[in-house]
Amino acid sequence: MIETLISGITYSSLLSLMALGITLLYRTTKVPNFAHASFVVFGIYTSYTLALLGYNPYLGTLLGFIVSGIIALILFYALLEPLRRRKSSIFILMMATLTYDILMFGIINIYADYLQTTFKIPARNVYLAPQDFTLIGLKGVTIVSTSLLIVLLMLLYILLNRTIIGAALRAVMENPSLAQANGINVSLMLALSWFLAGGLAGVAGALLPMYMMTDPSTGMLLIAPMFCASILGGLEQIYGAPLGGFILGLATTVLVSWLSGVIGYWIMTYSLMVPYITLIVTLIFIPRGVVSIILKR
Amino acid sequence: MLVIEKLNSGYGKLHVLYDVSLTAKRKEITAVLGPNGAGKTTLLNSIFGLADIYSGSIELDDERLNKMPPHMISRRGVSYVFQLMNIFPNLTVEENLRLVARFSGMNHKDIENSLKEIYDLFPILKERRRQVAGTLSGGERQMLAISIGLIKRPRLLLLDEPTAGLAVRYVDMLIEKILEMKKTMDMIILLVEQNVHKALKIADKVYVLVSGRIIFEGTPSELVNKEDIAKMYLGVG
Ligand SMILES: Nc1ncnc2c1ncn2[C@@H]1O[C@H](COP(=O)(O)OP(=O)(O)OP(=O)(O)O)[C@@H](O)[C@H]1O
Ligand SMILES: [Mg+2]
Repeated sequence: MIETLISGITYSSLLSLMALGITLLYRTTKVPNFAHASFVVFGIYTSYTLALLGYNPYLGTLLGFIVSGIIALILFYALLEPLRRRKSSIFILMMATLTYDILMFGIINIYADYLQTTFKIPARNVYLAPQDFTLIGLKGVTIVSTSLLIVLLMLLYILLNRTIIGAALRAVMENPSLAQANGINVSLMLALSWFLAGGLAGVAGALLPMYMMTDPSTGMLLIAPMFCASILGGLEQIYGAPLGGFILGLATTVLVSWLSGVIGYWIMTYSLMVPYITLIVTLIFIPRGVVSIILKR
Repeated sequence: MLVIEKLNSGYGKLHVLYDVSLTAKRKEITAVLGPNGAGKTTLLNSIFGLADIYSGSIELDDERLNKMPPHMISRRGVSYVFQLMNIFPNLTVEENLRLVARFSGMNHKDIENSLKEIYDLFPILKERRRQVAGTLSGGERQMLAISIGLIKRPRLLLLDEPTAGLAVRYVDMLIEKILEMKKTMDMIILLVEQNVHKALKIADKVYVLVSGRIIFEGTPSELVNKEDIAKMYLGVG
């Protein structure tokens, strides 16, 4: 039981990092970003590549942040910004993120093929847990993912609330036209939010192979829980994301595992449905997310 | 001085303003009046880089503003107080003011002085400085919006219908405040108003815009004497 809980906390931390970016982008650009799937996968392949080259895969968190941040920036400058300038609808922007995601999925597969022929390994199944370290009985990935989540949340808080760039970002989230009217370069701030969101997804992705078996389509499998965590927490508050991440993460792991003991093991098969059911229930009963209950607004 | 010459502008294929020429001077209130849909907001949008300019020029103290993006125009000392959505609703009153001041490149001392000046002008905002801006009354919100425009001590202040939809006591008060601003602050005020009577009381110069064209230019008293225009378009006289 305790093992399931620890595993659930690890999963929740990773989910939180991913959902954080979804919420951030929704707040700044107002677009549901489907390309988050590939931002995560670029993180996966970053730490995998480092491991193949003999480096510590945990270096992938740092490098993955940069790689996925850049992948996100390319999406922003190549597709979203030109569309935004043309005043395209949110729907068009959303389709652009989906298109980009499919394109990146192709690129990841090409890269996996390249690794496969070069290193003669099955590069479509990425699993690094056997190489993980343990400390006082805890798996490395648990320690690193929870502490990174806390540190990154604190850094994000400091950035948003204690720096002038953060103030500009908040202004853009609150009222972009007024922000622009007061000398804030809105486009640059949006770009920053894409870099940060991509980076956070990259960090989560870099840690994922230490937690579970991953492959190029892992991002697509996780996109539903990501959106669900983000909406469950509440899109109006960035810090709703980790809240949603933990509620959903623990529900998918701990709750399902407990239910399997009570009802029967067959229920495990349906754990993939937890995000969908949660999403529907949230949208019907608390459309503004759990934070809206906490903030009583 | 703000000098606009033969301005043609609009939004994409929608041509709104035709050959609009206008001059607005420092320490004066220049009012732009006209019926709904005449293009008053579009005129302000054009000055601020938010509309498409097809031809003509816009110059502020001999510097061309056409083709500059809004954030650069803002940094040239232009403040635009929108008609709607003109505050940051989830920040407090003072956070609204400080946030905007920080992006104007003012130093700490200037910000404090400017803030004090604004609280002197609108004492109610000082009382409400810790209140979340979204919960202010309509009149207070409008005062905050104008203060956001004033905090960086602009050379040019663009006001789009600041009294629209306000209770009568607020309308009179805001009009008084705009007059006070003109006297105490060294700036060009371009005021778009639907409250024609009130606007004529404080304006030094008036333009009447109808269907995208300037059909009158002169002093308030000249306008009142032009009975045809005053009656037909503005419901005065
Ligand atoms: N952002 C925009 N994009 C496209 N068309 C616009 C935009 N803003 C205004 N228009 C159109 O331009 C024309 C002039 O509108 P404008 O807002 O300038 O009038 P106005 O004189 O300010 O009217 P009101 O008194 O109602 O505020 C209208 O036909 C309007 O539909
Ligand atoms: Mg208007």
